[in-house]
Amino acid sequence: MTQQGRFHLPIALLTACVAVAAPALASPQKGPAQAATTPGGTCLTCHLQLDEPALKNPAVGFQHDVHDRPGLGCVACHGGDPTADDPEDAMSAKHGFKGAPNPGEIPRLCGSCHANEVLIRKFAPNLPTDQLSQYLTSVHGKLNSKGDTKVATCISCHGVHGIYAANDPRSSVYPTRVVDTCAKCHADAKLMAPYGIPTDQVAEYKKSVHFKALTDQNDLSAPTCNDCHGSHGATPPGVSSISNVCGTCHPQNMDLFQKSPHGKAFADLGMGACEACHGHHDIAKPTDDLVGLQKGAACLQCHDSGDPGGEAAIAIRTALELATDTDSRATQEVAEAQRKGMLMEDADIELQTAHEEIVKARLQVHLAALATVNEHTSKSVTAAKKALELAAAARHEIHVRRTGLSIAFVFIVFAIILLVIKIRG
Amino acid sequence: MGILDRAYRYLDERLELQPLVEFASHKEVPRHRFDWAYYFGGLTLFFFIVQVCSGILLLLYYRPTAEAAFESVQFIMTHVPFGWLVRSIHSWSANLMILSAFLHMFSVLFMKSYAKPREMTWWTGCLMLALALGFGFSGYLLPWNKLAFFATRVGTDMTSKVPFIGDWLMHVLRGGDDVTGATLTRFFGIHVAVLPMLMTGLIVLHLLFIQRQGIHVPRGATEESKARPGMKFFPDFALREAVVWLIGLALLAFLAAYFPWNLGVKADPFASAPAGIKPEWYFLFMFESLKLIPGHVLGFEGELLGLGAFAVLGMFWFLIPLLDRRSTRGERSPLFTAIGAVALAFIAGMTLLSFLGVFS
Repeated sequence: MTQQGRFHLPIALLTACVAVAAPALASPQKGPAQAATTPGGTCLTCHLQLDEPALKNPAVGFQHDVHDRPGLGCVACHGGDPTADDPEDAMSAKHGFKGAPNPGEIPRLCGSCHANEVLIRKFAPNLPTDQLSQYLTSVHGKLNSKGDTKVATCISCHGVHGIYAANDPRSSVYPTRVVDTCAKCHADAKLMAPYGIPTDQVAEYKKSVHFKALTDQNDLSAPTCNDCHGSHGATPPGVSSISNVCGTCHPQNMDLFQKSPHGKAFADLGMGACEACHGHHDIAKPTDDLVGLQKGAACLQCHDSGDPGGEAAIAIRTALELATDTDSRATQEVAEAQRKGMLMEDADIELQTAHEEIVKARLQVHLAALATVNEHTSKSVTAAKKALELAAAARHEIHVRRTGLSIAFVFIVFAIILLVIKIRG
Repeated sequence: MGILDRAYRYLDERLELQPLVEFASHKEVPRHRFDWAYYFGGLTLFFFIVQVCSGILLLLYYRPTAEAAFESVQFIMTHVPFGWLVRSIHSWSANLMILSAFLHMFSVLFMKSYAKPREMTWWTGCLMLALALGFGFSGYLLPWNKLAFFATRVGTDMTSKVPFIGDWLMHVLRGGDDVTGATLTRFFGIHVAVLPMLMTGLIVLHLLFIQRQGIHVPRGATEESKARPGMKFFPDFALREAVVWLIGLALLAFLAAYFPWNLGVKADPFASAPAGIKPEWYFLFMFESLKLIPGHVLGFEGELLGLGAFAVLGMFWFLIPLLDRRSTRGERSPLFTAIGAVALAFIAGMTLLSFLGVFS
């Protein structure tokens, strides 16, 4: 729900109370006994008949809400008596009718069930119950506790009156939709201005390799906002903890980086870890161009050609270039042989090794040690050269086959000519 | 006396070959402007002989199990001397045999050579074409690659549409609920034992009928044929047939060298079917026609109706010698010429359109 929507809630529900009190509208089609068998009860029966969208839409939305279950329903949040036939009685103080909760109350209202392990077990035994406690530690939760009604609460992300389970693709917190849910506030420059928070994160993230994996490849394991910032306990990761955040999915890179000379140096200088080279929201697909001292290389930020680190960066870049060039040439030549009908499974195995060793070498770049990078690039070049030899052998074999069959072809044509001469004779 | 003469004398004393030699030396083939069509039958036989020879060579290394079939073909193509050539020739020759058989059938149809007394020659020919298609269908699965696996799944699934016995028939073909190693073993048995046995028997009968009844002269060429002296089967026709066979061999050599038959990727029964799977080209006209029929027509399943229609048309085709009474009486039969032209246009058109991707 939008910020504006949240402010309309109390007004809408107040209007609802007045409207449903009118005798012309207070004539539910179902009796109380029948209504009580459904979670919405008479609340839904009446609200669904109203014309005012602000009063009707919540009832419409609630019909596919994950909370539309026996034992829950409107009463769980708003109080009142869903079995009462008379609207005034249903929404009376004696039945505990609370109307629309204000934004400050929402986290604890949701938490009254979602932080109650015993209650939650009855409906969703696997659902965690630490959302409220996490929320209270988040930036959102802290500001909410201080009375800031503009910060996100549960309904800002999950919606209200039409909430889907988080693993439902229609949910606003389904992985592919999280970024747009966060964007409702974090891409709103006016809303973010008082907090001094930039609003380009969403646009930046949408350029990233992570967003492409999530949306183009439908890879739900690719990170979106909450995977780095946390969900209910959302907070920006500190400089010192960024490599741990990235390391949850890239553990080897993190491990090597922390063992590298850069690990300590970056920490001493107060620099971020991964994002120093890869950026943070707009993480592009890393290429070998990040390594070395040429224009655009990440190493150039701290090194130049005069220092040992700069020399090592150039050497690592050269080793990677040799491996990738050889691999690329071998891949092309093997593909060409395959296109001409040769089976090249031995070469495919060598190419597989060459690719894997390049991946390992690129991983070792995080250790910033030339020797370990060289170890893998050498293995890659060796495997790619074997593939090249096999491709050359295949090319030779194609030549031999075609030559042999051309000779056979000539003999056949010669035999045909002789036969034709004989026939004509 | 040379060694060949001595050998002939040895055999003649025991088998009385002289009457056969006499028959062969006097056998003549009519000459007219359509006599080029006589060579397609022989060409089909040539490709069949190539199939038998190359098939026997492949049998030395091929292993008919789901675990080893693909690898054994891979082994043949990479490690067995000239294995790549044998496999490529076997695959190309199979396709050329079916193409040649179709051309032979249509030439016979347009020349009305099926008319009395040659009905049985037509029937054996039709059965041989059906067996050739069976060879193609069963052989397609044997390399156990991805395309063949899924095409066989689609093909065998169609048999389940046959009323009453469909499910049973599909289970018999597959050896279970799905295409598995059991299907491969069955198809292998059918491909290398059952079909060759039936085909050899039918070839013998087909050739026997032709020898017994002589070669048919089409109605429009009777006068011309009478005016021109016949061609001696030995050596004149045999030499010309040899030229045609050599052209077939040259074509095979060219195709095997420049367009070696692809092996593809090993079948994975648990993988999803690749997009746009199609059967071999000679089944395309049926496959695409069945796809064009709506799911349900007048309350009947569309595919079932389509298969029923093809079955009826196939039976009609088989019974043409009995249905075409005018040809039997030696009269012109434009109706059956038109039917043949429509059938040829339909088969060629649908196949071509499918290759052009019109139905994709």
